[in-house]
Amino acid sequence: MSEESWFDTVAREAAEGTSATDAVNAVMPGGLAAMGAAKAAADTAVRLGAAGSWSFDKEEIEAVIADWKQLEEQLREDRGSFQQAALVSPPSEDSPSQSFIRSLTDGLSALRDSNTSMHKYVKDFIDKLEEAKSAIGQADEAGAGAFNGADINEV
Amino acid sequence: MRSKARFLLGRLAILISASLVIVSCSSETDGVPQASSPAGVPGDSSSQAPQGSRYPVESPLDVSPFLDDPCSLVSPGLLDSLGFSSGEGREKTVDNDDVAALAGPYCGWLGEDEGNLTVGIQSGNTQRGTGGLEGIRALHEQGRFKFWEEASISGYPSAYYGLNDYRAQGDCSIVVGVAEDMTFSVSADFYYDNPENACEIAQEVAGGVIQNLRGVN
Repeated sequence: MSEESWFDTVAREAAEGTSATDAVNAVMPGGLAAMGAAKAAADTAVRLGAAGSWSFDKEEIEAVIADWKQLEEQLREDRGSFQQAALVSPPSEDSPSQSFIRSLTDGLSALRDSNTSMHKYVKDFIDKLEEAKSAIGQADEAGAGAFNGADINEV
Repeated sequence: MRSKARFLLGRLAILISASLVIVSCSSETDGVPQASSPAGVPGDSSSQAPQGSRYPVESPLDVSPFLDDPCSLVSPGLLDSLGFSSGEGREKTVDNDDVAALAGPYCGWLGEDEGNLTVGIQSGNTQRGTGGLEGIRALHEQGRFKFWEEASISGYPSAYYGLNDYRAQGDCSIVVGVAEDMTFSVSADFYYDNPENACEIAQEVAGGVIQNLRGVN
């Protein structure tokens, strides 16, 4: 993925429509550099059934989930700021140009839609990570079971 | 991740809200300047009421006790009953938040299971001489709010509003005129699974805020 500034991403999304993936990537340090590495690992974990392996353990995935939950909360918190910003009025009863008002209103709408899109993406991803964590837990239990006496006797 | 997300979204909100304030300063217009209230203080509302207001307020309520403590606008009991942790309100005032410096103080709570609640006082508009429900209605007429549905909360003029009508998506906002030059707002967002809850919560919290304001007036 080529480097793109958050401003360029938001501007492009305002013009072309919102890409949740790009929007989330835009706020990650270095795009997909740092968090992206964890995301790639998490993606692998999510595809447990197909890939049959993953690259980090339960403790690591819990740490990743905590980071994503923090981002989810911040996205909700940011909505409050947008709501307040939308109520800010001009300093007088002068009537600004309709085109300028329209562009500002479009900007607020795009910001709100981007926030919603990012939040849904993040929430959905947290659900997948939770599923992956659960799958890891079940795999651990199955692995431990293979070493207990009952299983050996059964074999 | 955390700081960059906040930087991005917070900065955009500040930029846009600043633009909203600047917009009318870009051209000269004949007129008589009007004195505004001291920072965030509504003062004598009746004397500052816009002439010919469509939203008269018979018993104005003073919000000034809450300007430094917006989280106290909602009682802990009400918050807890609605699934919000009363002790975890995120207070935004003119001293710690750029949006609050333009719009007025506000407080946000994250729902335990779902939802987000934000309550704010639009004292910034009052300072600029455009406070009250009349001023918010003017924004609707200028095209900012495509969704506008007037109502009454505990006898105070109010309106459900939005950039668009997002109620079916679980977002609902209401603004209430407690003086002819002062409003407070309540937003309930992110009720994806139970979108009908958003307006019910917004309305209930708005009623609770009025009850609180009456208690100190």
